[in-house]
Amino acid sequence: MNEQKKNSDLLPIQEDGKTYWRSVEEVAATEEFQEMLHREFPEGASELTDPVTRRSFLGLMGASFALAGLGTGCVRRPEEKIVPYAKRPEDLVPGLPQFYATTMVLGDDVVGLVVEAHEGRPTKIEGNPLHPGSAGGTSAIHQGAILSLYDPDRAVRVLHNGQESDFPSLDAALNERLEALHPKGGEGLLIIHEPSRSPAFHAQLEKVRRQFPKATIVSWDPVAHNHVTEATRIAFGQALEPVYAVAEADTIVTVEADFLGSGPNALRHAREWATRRDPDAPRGMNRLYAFEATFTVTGGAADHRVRIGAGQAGAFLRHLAWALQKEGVAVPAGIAREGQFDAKVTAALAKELAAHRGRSIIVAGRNQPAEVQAIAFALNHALGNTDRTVRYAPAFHPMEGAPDAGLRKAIDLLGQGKVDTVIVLGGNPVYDAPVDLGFDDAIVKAKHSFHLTWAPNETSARVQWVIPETHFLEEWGDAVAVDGTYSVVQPLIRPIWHGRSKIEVLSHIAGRPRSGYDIVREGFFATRGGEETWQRVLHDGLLEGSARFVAVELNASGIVRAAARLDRPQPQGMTLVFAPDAKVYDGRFANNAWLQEVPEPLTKLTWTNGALVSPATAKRLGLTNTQRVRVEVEGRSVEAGAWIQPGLADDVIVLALGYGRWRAGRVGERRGTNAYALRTTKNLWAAAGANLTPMSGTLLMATTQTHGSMEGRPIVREANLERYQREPDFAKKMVEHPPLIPLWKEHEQVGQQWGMAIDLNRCIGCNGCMVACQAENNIPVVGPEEVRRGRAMHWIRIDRYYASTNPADPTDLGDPEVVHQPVSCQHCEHAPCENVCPVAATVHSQQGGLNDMVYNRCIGTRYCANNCPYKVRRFNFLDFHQKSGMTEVRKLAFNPDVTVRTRGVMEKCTYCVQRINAARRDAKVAGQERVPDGVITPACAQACPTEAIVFGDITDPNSRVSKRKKEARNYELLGELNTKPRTSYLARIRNPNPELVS
Amino acid sequence: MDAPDKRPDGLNEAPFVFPKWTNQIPRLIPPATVLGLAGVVFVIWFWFSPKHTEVGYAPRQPVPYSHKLHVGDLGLDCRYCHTAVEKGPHATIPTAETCMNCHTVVRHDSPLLEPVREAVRTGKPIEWVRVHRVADYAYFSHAQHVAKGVGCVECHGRVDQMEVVRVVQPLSMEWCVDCHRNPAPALRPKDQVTNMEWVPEGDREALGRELVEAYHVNPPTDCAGCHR
Repeated sequence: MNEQKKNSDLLPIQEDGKTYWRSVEEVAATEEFQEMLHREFPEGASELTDPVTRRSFLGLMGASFALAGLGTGCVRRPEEKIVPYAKRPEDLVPGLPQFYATTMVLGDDVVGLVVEAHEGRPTKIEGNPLHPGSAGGTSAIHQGAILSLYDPDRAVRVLHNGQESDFPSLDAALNERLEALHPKGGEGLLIIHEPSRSPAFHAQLEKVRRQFPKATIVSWDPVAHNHVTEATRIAFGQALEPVYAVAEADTIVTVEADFLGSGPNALRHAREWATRRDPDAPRGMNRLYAFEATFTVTGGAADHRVRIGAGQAGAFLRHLAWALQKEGVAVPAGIAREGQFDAKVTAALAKELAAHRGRSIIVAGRNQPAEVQAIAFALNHALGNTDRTVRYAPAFHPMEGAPDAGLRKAIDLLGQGKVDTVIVLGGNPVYDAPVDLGFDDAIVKAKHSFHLTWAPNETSARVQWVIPETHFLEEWGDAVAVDGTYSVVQPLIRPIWHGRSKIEVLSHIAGRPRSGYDIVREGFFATRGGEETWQRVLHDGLLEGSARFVAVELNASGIVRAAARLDRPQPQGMTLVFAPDAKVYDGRFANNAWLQEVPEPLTKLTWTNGALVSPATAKRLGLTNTQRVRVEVEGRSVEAGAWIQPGLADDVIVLALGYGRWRAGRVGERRGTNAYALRTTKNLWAAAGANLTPMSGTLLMATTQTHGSMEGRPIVREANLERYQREPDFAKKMVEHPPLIPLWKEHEQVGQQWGMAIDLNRCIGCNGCMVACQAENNIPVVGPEEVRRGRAMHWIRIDRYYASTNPADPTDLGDPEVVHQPVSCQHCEHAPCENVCPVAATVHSQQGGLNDMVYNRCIGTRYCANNCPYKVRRFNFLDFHQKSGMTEVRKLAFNPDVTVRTRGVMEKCTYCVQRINAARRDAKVAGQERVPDGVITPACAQACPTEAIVFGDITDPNSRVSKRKKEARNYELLGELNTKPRTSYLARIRNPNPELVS
Repeated sequence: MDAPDKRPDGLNEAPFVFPKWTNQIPRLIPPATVLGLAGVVFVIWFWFSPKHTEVGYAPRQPVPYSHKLHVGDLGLDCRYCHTAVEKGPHATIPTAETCMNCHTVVRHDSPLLEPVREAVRTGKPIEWVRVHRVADYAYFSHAQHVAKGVGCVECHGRVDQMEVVRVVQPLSMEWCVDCHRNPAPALRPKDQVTNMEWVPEGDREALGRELVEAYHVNPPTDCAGCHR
């Protein structure tokens, strides 16, 4: 009772009766949590506690003193050199960035990018607004990819049996094998490649096939090998890719599908979904229903999120078909079947879908069994969505057979000793192949083995020759998106480590080694166009109008037969669900420190994965957060840290792929739990009959969700559409306060004044902004130990709040709603930080009205951070850049337009002042008095796939930001403190089905 | 007069008496301290200031290029070599190819030009010594200043008269900010920016004030104007 009391003093009870929680510790009101809350930085945060760190730090200090002595002791100043180009590249102005269009392919997701380069070194990735897979946005992974280019643990040279070698020796060895195999038609040659969306790749592969007709060529990818084309073959008799026109849909239903957060076109889905989230738009808001056992980004954005049990997607869709049938929708007879689902929700949903024929979408997850996805296609068809909101493009080189069929064949051959030479092109099958296949033992049975890889990994350790591969920013290539759009991969930099691309290696195998540029260009000229088109494609990054859709005809009987295959008894016990990770994906980004450190969108875990369980399951098993547990399935087991994830289906364990690597490099090794150790061919995405056994002790799991709480004030504000229509300015009325009288004189304002508006209605919490900010502003990573101490350095964070949907018990987080709120420096006009700085290191600017941070003045008192009500200031406690192992190559990733801060200096969001200054410079040079609206885009706003963040001049009434700030749902964070923040928020509006609102 | 008493230890010399002038010492200590401190302040203020440490710096360059010859006598425009001055943050040092535009013909065999020829031959650039330097944390852009009518000569002096380029202004923050607070005296018509010999007709201040209006000159004095 007493505990309960303490909580309600601390937390907001709002008019709607919602209580917002940041973590389960907060609900439990543990003492540690209270302690964490009340300190700006946690205990010991300013001390060097790690002895090794201290020693190396002192070493560094010694070195820098020595240098200082050399520099200033005997000469007036160190002599600096200016080295001009001997021959300057065309169009390059030293000091000004250049931008080139290229493409990043991750599994099935093809995203066009525009990459910024400074004097030939790429420093920042942005989305290509012209490309349909991006529409201008980028995800955290795209943003982080630039760091992988400069990864010091990349494959930097040819390795032969672990020893340093060189390309001539490699070529000799490879040629010798190829010459020996050629007379036999390639019998004994095995090529294992990652599935590719590149026409050039497949053209080269075809040449290899012609050269070695008896060679075995198989592909494997742990994530992209899914069941989509299999499903379209069932539903329509051909291999297709569904393409969703999300902007056209009024009602969207996802079933175990994270269509906003991951997978092909996720960025485009998010952008289109967000355009329909404006409550004042004439077409009205869309409505998103998410039915899922796991908790996805899409689930967090949904208006209705309904938990269903693991493996229930098929049963649910059949139930939905049954409900639709009752509404008079002609679903194929035989797939409808009533199930055990919330009748009220499905009835209301069916009614809504029936009323929005042709304007709805039903999406089943790409990893769901083909039968399940086929039913979803059939329901879309029955609702008249086909060719309107759901279109189908021909699948690009679809996989034949089961996802693991190729790998199985390869292992059979290896096991029989029939493989003379195996060439693994990319990927990491030793780590990520289904564990029951035993790939690890099979690959060493090949007499000769080669692995092309951009970073030595577990597979490289099991082969004889390791060939350095180019990063996608170093190579020529091309790609076809799921809708058929053709785009080019264009290098931004010459291969740093002289690596070779996949197509170059394939051309070598085919007997005619050629440069990637020649291969891609030739392929383009042969099939797609001439010189003029090619030049335009290089400029735009894509071939306009290359998307292609086909008409489909539903194979009703096939679907009914497929649906019948789903009639299997529901397995008992717990189910283990595998999910690609939002940060390290399938494990390939494990050595990327930016991606490791960014908090997972919902759990807010960094540097690790947890065995996620629902609160009820945790209670049943007596688990607490970070407790050591053993996860067991089919006699295999791994150890993991338990993590309680509100909103998960009960009796489900979610384990993200991509952790627990043992050969990844200095950043990625031994982080978290290796889920692949439990993943078998039978259970690629979910394993029934799993067991979770609590063990003694806890694991170190760093989370940011307890940092920077704002203690019981209405920080996030939201309402239902119905209330918004009744009372549009509800958000402003949520806090009552006496009239605000400024204590200080207003700052003088000269010229354009910058401000930001963040629409909570659009934010899905995807983390794109966080990594974009890190890349743009040279923000260091701190590592898991330091994250636990509250020293994370991200200038923008995304606060994730849970609110109970149980009106009777606000602490019941079994089925919570989620609100995401990005928070960075609010650039207050009456900034509390400015008043307390003893050295005027943080001051207000007249031009622009920014809250400037002057690193050179800062002496590190941290008074400002203490006085900041938003907790957005970050202190560099330990010179984290140096501590995280700065190498010469890593330095190339720095943005030269932003100071690299050192230890003992406070830092925070600057509204990307370097971009503001660059735009002002360009305007001045062009003779403009004002910077036009939309020219300045901070890194966070540019990355945002949903355009939740808008930046601009608040003195211009027609700017986008001014228009947003004029909206009724605009509110200022802690505005009652009269800090007059320049960043304001638009309250979140949920659009629940009126029939389901009690 | 009595003889001094014999001391039992036999030391009969007169006790040491400080000379009279030593009485002045305590009186001199305060002014000496003040002077000494003032001296320290002066030394730091003068010798440590960029006015002393920067002004007059004229390093030897790998090629003894004479601005006096090329600009003053031959009349080359600054922008012939410093091509990016109107576009980017750096004015840029010319590529070796730029030199060879003329020097394939003019004095093509001069031994002084050997480093230039070598750079063109090998593609390995000449390493020039930086003369004008602002701190790394100060982000300066030439393009912006040139676009607003700040003449080259305002910061770099009469380069056309320099055999060896030397620093003539302290390039300190105080010096920058002085001009940012009152830009008028440093302005000239845009078409005269590279003219080393330009002299205003009439009152420079008045002209400057007109140009401030005409060119919308509004230099920032905020920290983030240059530091970020």
